[in-house]
Amino acid sequence: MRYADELAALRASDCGPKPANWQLSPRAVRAFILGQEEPIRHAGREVRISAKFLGDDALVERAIVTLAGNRGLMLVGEPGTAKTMLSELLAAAISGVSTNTVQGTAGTSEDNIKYSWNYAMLLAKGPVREALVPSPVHVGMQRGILTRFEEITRCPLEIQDSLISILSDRVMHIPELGEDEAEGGVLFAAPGFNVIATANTRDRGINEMSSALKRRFNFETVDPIRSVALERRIIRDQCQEMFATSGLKLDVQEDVVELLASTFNELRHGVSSEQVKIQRLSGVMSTAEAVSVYYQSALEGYYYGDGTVSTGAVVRNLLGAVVKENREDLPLLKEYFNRAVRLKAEKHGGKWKEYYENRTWLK
Amino acid sequence: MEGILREPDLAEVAERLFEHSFDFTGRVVYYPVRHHSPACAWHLTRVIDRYAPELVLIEGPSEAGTLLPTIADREACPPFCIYTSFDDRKGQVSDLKERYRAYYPFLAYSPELVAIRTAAERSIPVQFIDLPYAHRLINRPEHEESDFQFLYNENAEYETNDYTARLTARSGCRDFAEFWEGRFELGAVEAESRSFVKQVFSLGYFMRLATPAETPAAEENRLREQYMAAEIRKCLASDRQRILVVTGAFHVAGLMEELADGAKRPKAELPSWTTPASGTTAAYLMPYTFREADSRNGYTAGMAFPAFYQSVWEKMPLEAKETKRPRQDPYARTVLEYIVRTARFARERHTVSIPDEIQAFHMARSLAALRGKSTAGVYELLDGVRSAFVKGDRHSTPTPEIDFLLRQLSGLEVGRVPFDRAVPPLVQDFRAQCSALRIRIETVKRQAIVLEIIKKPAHRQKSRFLHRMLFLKSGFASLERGPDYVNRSDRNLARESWLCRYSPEVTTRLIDLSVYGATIEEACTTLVAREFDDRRMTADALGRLLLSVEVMGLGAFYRHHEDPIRETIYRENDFLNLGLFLQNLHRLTHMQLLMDGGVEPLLPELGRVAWKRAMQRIPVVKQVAEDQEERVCNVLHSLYGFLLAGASWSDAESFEQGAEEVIRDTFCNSRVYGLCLAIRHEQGAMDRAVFGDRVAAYLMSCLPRQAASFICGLFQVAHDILLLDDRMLETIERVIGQTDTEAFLTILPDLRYAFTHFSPTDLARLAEVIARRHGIGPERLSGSATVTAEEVVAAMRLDHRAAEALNDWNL
Repeated sequence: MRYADELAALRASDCGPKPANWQLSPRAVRAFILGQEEPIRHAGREVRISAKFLGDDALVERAIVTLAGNRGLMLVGEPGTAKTMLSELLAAAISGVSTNTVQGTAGTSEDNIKYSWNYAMLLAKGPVREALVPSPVHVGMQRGILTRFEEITRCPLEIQDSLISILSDRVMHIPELGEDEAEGGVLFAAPGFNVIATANTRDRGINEMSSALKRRFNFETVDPIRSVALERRIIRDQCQEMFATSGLKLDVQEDVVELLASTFNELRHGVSSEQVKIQRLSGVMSTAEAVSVYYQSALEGYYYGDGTVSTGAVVRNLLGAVVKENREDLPLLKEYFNRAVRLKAEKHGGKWKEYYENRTWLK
Repeated sequence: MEGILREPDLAEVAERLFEHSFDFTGRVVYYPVRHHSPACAWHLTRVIDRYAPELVLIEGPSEAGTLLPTIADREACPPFCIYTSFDDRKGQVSDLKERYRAYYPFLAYSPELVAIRTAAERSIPVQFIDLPYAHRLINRPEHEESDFQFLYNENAEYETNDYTARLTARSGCRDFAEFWEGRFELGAVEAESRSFVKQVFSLGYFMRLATPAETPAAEENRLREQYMAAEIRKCLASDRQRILVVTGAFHVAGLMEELADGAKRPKAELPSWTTPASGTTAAYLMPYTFREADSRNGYTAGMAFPAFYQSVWEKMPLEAKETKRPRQDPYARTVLEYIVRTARFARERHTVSIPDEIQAFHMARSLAALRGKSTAGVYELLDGVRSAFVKGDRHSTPTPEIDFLLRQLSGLEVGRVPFDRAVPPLVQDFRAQCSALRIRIETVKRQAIVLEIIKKPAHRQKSRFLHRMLFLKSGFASLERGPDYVNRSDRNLARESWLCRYSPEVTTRLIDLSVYGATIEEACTTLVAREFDDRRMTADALGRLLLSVEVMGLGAFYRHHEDPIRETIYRENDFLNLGLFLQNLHRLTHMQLLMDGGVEPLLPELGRVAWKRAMQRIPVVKQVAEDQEERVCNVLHSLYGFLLAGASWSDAESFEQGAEEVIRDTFCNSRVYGLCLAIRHEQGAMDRAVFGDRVAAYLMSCLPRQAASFICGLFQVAHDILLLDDRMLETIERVIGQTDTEAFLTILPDLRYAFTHFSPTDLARLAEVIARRHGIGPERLSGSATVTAEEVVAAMRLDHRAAEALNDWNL
């Protein structure tokens, strides 16, 4: 499990008051996500608590407070803004598990949200507890842990609405099992249960959500990273981790990260350090995409090249990232290279020059 | 930088310096402040109580010392500010000889104001010790460029300092203001004054260490500190035993150092100050608004959200022990108040429920606990409301409640200063007039005023006042809709719709203009006169000026400038300018008759002179170039109109002479010729047959371009000739027939313009006549063909048979 040592160290050193069934106190949750300067001495070694979500400390704090209260947390934002990562981090820190998840799709049914049955057992034994297949929401209520609900707005409206009574009354009725709690017909949520939902503003939008359900959530908008320096740091850290996970002995090349962070940031926000006009692409240009472009380029260099990341590979993967969303963005990307990247190449030379010269791949 | 944060020695030095600066047994005690901090102000009153100073020195512009009694007066209601100005008419700052101004704002909780008022209550003398504004400009290092506006007691250094930037980053706060609130403001009343002051001192001291020494800002700080130290030294020379110096935390160490070094330095090495020329500086007290005091509006002084802190300040207990009761926590109460107020606003749209309010308050308090704060402040309030009230992506969901909250946190109130003191007479006149005309200036909200300027004399008076304010560019009034006589638009309207909004900027502007007169009317008259004198005015410009004088109701202008006005007309040689002047004069006379019942005696005389001179210029304008011909014809036409309308200053004889001269000369501009010919025909100088002959003859003998131009002029007055005399059409047709395509395209715009003088009925009649001439029936003229049912059936049958035939042939 990722971050297991950090969580263990925090748990051991945490002396703050904890809401019922929380593994960590709110302050320790904050420290886990936003990082802590002083390392913790745990099990005979120093454990450094790294910052995992960068750019908006107040948002993380509001999210923690929301989860300790009686409302669900709804993270909305563009794709690739680390909504899912944040919800996983929160779930891991608060409940010790981040896998209790419902994945919202157009095919999600009420069974996926509440419970379904093992039909063989149902036929053999009738509606008994063993025959019930609990959903992640059911599990969350029973154990007093967080349930993550990914892409909630992809579910049909009426299916989403089955969460209303669960969130407001904290009760799930299972009429097949009888009428009272002892028989299992009524499941009261254990303290600590809550829902973290994520919704993507690019896709079908969060408008298709009933106001009754909206009232049960506190909304937090996760914004794309504005600072290039921060974006650089995220790309570097994430790639480093991905290399370590894949067992690749690779170092992240700062100069290439610089190219990617600037490119993605400028194309996303339209703010050019050279003051040139940048055309808005219809694609998202998220930081997650930038990480993926770097990772792909690094793998290409590792397996087929000399082990370094070539700017040609970066341009090719960038091209893939842009045109997969909309082929009409290609001329705009070319335009960006011909204006902004050219100026940077003239000004800084080096990698920028190489990057500019590789624009021939954009076709 | 990292070193400063970890250096143990520096902490010791800071400790030692603080002990020295805050030694109640010494002759000077320094009280470090962050400007506009309620916590600093609260502890300051306690320090004054304990130290009982005999003199209070404040970092404020020394030239405004005379305003101290007014500032201390409870009638002056904050926010207000000291306004100081310097008129660089001698070029002491730069050759630009600009006017410079500076503001020194006070909020109710500004430590400086609290010091002044507390001292006044205890009869302790107070003195400003900072470098006067003009000195600051004149003695600036190497006369580098100065801004025309300056803000005193601002907190800009906190936002740009490396030390504070690092503190902010380490604390995870969004900006330094949030850090300051969390560490210094919240729970300040529970802190012991000495330890609180020590924290503020240390902050200022470390900021100072992190400031590069060789920057212009540092150089200016050094100059100011030298001046302030010299002032403190002067006070030390008196027999006062306890002096309290209230200054920005940043300056304390500098002042102490300067005071110690200055004593050792020989007199010659002390800076010498170039003083401003006499009569070039002024200082007034003027009202200010919360909106302008809010640092989020680009004003770096003070703190963001001034109305919030005002509310907190009002709830702060008088005594420290009172805070033990939780009910008394001023921040919690203020946060709750704002949540309720915002919810009440939002509920009008049915978007916020009581559970949302509870959630917002819970969020604010829990966030405070999570962030290690003793109570929730304005940032937790905003976080709480954002989180609980906004349902959706904040970029795509409208958030009127957040906008409302931000407006409320900033505040809309305007300060007040005693009416009769410390403001120039011009401002007093403005206030008196607003009060007499019932225009509100105690709020910064916009007010819409609709005036029936023709019907109601009282409204006219109000309109004149607002026009004067508009002319003074005071920013107080804007005319949204109404007749604009000067620019000749919407002159048929009888109502004016104004939007008025008072802001302290209005007062500032009026203070700036106070050199021009003691009343609004006087200032306007002086400025109109300046405009009049400044350049050789054309008659047209004079006409417009007289119109603006009329809408402003500045009757005195005529009396003071009778001769120059007359001279302007005598001097004018341009026909167009004279004609435009007469147009304005006609309008002006009409307005005066309508509104005042009489005409200014000078006007008919001016009219006669202008008319005469215009008529004398007709022989000149007859040769006018093509690009001017339309304007000349329009003016001539309007002069003819005045003649027909019987304007007292018009004279038929001179007009006839002028027109005759034009039509005698076929060399003259075709359009002018056509117009004059038509006018003379209308005046009966020739009968229709002669007129028809002359028109036909002219048309047949000129170039196509000239013909089109001629027709334009002709039709401006006598388009009926085309309907009355058949030869006209014939001749025009012949001219067009002889024209090749290229030439036709050139004259087409003129021809089209010429026919705009016809009414649609006339055009329809004309079209019929032309159609008849060409043998075209009226049915074709209407643009559609009539088909009988039989014809349709026959056509369909034919179509069907054709299709069958094609089919047979396999096509």
